[in-house]
Amino acid sequence: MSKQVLIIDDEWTIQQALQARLTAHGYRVQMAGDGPTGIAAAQEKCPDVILLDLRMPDMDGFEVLRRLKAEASTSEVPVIFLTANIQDTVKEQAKAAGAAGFLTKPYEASTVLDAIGAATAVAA
Amino acid sequence: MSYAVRLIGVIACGVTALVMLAWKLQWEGVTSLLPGLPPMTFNTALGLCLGSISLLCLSMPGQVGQKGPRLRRGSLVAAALAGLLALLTITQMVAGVSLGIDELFAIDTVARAKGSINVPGRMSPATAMAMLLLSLPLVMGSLRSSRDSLRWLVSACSMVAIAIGAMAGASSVIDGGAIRSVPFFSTMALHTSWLFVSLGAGTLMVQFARSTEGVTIGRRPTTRAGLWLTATVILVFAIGIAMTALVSKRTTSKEIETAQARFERLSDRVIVEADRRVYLPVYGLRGLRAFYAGSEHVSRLEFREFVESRVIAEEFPGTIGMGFIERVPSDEIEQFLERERADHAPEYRIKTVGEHDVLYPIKFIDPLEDNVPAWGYDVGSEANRRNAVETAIRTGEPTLTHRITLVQDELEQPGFLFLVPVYENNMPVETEEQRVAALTGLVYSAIVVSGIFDGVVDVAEGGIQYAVHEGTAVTDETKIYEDLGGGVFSLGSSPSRLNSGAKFRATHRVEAGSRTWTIETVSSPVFDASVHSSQSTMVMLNGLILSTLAACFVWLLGCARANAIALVESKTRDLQATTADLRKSSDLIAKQNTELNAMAERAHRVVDDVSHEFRTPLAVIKEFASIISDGLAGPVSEQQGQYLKIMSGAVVDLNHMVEDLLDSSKLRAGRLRVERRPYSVETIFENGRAALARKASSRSIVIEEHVEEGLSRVFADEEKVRRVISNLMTNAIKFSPEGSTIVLSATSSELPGEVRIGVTDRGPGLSEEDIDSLFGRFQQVSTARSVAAKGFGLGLSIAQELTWLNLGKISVESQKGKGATFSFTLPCDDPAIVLDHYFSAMAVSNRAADELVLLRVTAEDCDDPAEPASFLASITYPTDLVLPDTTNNPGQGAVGRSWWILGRTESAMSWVARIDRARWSQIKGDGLDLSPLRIDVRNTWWYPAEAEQAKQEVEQAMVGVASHV
Repeated sequence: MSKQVLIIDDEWTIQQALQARLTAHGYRVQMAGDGPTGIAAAQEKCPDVILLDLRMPDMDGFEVLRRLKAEASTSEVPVIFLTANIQDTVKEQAKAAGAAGFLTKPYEASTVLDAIGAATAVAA
Repeated sequence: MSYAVRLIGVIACGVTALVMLAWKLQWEGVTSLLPGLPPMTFNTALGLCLGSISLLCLSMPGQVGQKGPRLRRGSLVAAALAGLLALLTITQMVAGVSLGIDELFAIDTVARAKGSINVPGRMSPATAMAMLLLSLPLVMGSLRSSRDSLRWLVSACSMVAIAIGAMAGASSVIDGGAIRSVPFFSTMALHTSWLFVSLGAGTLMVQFARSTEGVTIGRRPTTRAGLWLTATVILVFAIGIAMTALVSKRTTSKEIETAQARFERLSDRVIVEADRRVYLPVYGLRGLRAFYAGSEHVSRLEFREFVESRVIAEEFPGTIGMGFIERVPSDEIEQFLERERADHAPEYRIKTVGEHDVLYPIKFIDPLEDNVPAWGYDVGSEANRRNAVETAIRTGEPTLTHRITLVQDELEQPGFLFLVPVYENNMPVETEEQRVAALTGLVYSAIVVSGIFDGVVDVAEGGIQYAVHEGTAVTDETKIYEDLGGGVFSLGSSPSRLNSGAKFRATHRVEAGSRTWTIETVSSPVFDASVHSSQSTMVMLNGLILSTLAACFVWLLGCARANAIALVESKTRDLQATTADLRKSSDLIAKQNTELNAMAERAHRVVDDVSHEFRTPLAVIKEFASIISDGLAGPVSEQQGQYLKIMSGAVVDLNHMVEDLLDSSKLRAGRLRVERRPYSVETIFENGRAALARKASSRSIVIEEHVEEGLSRVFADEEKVRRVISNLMTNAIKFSPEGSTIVLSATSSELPGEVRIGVTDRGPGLSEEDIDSLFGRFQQVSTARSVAAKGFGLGLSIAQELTWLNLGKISVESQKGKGATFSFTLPCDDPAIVLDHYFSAMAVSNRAADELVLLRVTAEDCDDPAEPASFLASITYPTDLVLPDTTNNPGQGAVGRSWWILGRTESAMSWVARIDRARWSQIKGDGLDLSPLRIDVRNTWWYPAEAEQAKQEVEQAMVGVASHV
């Protein structure tokens, strides 16, 4: 069975681009446009990996990650940050908060696919 | 003040020149000044003359003008010669040798004759010492030495010279006692001492004027200070005058005592001479009496021969004749006359007045021709004479009559008869009756007063006038003789013409011929004039001058002090105003700085936001282009694939521009995090290889890597190194022809302890002008390279700044048309080398002066050493250096539990506080679990003032204990 990827990003265009790329590579893709929706989807669908944006309205990526880690059903799901924020401190914070990866936009497709592959392999 | 110094110099110069001239012309009065005081030797005069010339040169106007160097040179030569003269003299005294300088200029014949100075011409020990001390401040003044440490010495020398002069001078004018008896002072002349005091005061004034240069001298102080100063000046002057008066009075008293003694000495001479003159006739009369005693009978001729045998005028001054008086009872007159006429005097007769039982006719008188009226004169016919005769007979003693007018004296001047009785041989004369019975007669001298006292006054050398009175009373009536000196005398009871205003007056009793005479002596006008000696005048003059100088000195000091205070107050006010202005400026700058920081923060946030907002659509464009190009959205023609590749390349370029903007903004704001660690170059190359290959492939460019064998590891922030390589490589790819080769190399630098990483392309190369402006922000070369160039021109600027943060240097070698090699250096992984590079990098920083602080941070309880290391990297500035201390964690290399932090900050404490705040912020705010840290401030230095010292001490602290990181 193909792996399921949950994309939590407020940018619809990014959602579409990632969906096209991942679907083409055999992943099942779920999408959420904000943090609370993403958390609910994660709890409902139990994805294999989550691609999470950092800067979102209402709830930022760190808070989403904290809540996912706090919830037993989602705490083990690997979360990869995919963000346009390239500050060094943010990267350190993400690592400290328990993120499985940290990718920046614009990304190389191969980099994203490698990271998802690595995360799902570890999770499996 | 300079006028006073010049006046002192001129006077001193004149006095010493006069003394030198006096030695040549033998004017002892000038050399000694006062009788009995030591003279100023020629060498002393010469030395003081040189000193005064030096002082004159220093006080002349034009010290700061063109004449200045010449005047100072003249002053220096004169002062040095004076000092040399004194030094040679002292050397002679100490070593006991003669260097010939004492006879070099003049022979001190006067001193030699007096025996007061052993070696002629030599100055006294006190003079030589004072002159040497005086020459030192003059030499220093000529050299214009302004060293504070020497000022006290110069002042001390001047003051000691003044003290020596003052003590010697005081001993001369006060009593010449204790101090004069000290050999050191014994031979210093009065004017020498005065000159030392004056010249010493002059040098002090010159020095004072120098020390107050820039302060207006003579300006009036404020009213309150002026009153105090005026009172002080008046007090100083009053004390000076009072002391002068005291000394002068004492000097005058001593002078009067001396004059009194001299007057008494001269009076005694007059008295003794007058007494001797009065008594002289007695010697002749006694001789005559002896003649009678030795003869049985004295005839007229025998008597005459005896008298003629004596030179009466010379032997007995005042005596005009010597005679013999015989006692003749009135009833034997005829027999007497007969007997006398028979003795070769047929014309002899008795001249008598009145009737007496006994007559005393003058029997003989010689020389007869001068005394004819007295021959045969009955002395007993006049009461005065008769009384004296009878007294002489009764007492047997030489007896004087009262003042009489001699009958033979045609001038009728006062005269006397001096009577001596002659008794029969072998007859008793113990009682009056026996003497009356034994009387033979009386020998006598007829004396005129003018003759007796003529010339007596000469023994007083003109200092005395005197009058002789008969009896004890001193009145015009009793006066018999008066001599004013100079041949002026008067006889008899005329009004006194003696010096009525005489300073000294005395009376003496003289007993002569049973009579008492009183001799009144007075000082002559000449004598009185001599009492007003120059000594007390000199004291007054000296005292007046010194008091005036002291008052002037105090006044000038007070004025200078007041002016200095006024100057300080004025400067303080200016300073306060300046401080207030500075505070305002500082506040304004602080406010502007805050605003600028806020603006910078806003600008950075804007850049950050723009960057963020740009990157998302760029990602979408890039990804969809890639999806289409990869055929995921359906078949794509070759031309469409070509266009999509161009679109992707444009997106990558745009992304680079955004990254450059963001990095440049971070660098400007100091927000870039730097975490330096040891890395191998191979690792760095490997980590960046894929991204570089993708970039190069877009233009079919081949990248060749060359890494030197055995290359040392570097100590750097790996990400920053890769970013520099990326920027250089991006640049090279842009400007290299398609399908060309770019060489990425890593070699040992020409300097030890460095690795050089280079990027060599085959592009159009750079001109020298291009190279000069290559690394500036927003700079792009204006050549063929720019044709293909895109972006803001920040790439090389960022590369340069990142290289600097990695403690290295970036450079470029290129020739037009022959490609270019951009290279940068990195320090090897060695603490000593890293420190050296750190200080070199700091040296070219344009940061303002501040403190350089060395901290040692220890993680007290730490499971993962990487966590505090990461924390320290996150809170330190890019310009701070963090080095692990391997002493406490041997074998753990870079991941120890202690770290050295070297960095520049406003203050060590503020830095420690910042670290603490950041730590708590991350623990509380971000919920991180951080280990407790102990922070020790090891040392601080002012940078860059103490840069060299800091480097040595930091190396000793860090490298000495951490031999390898």
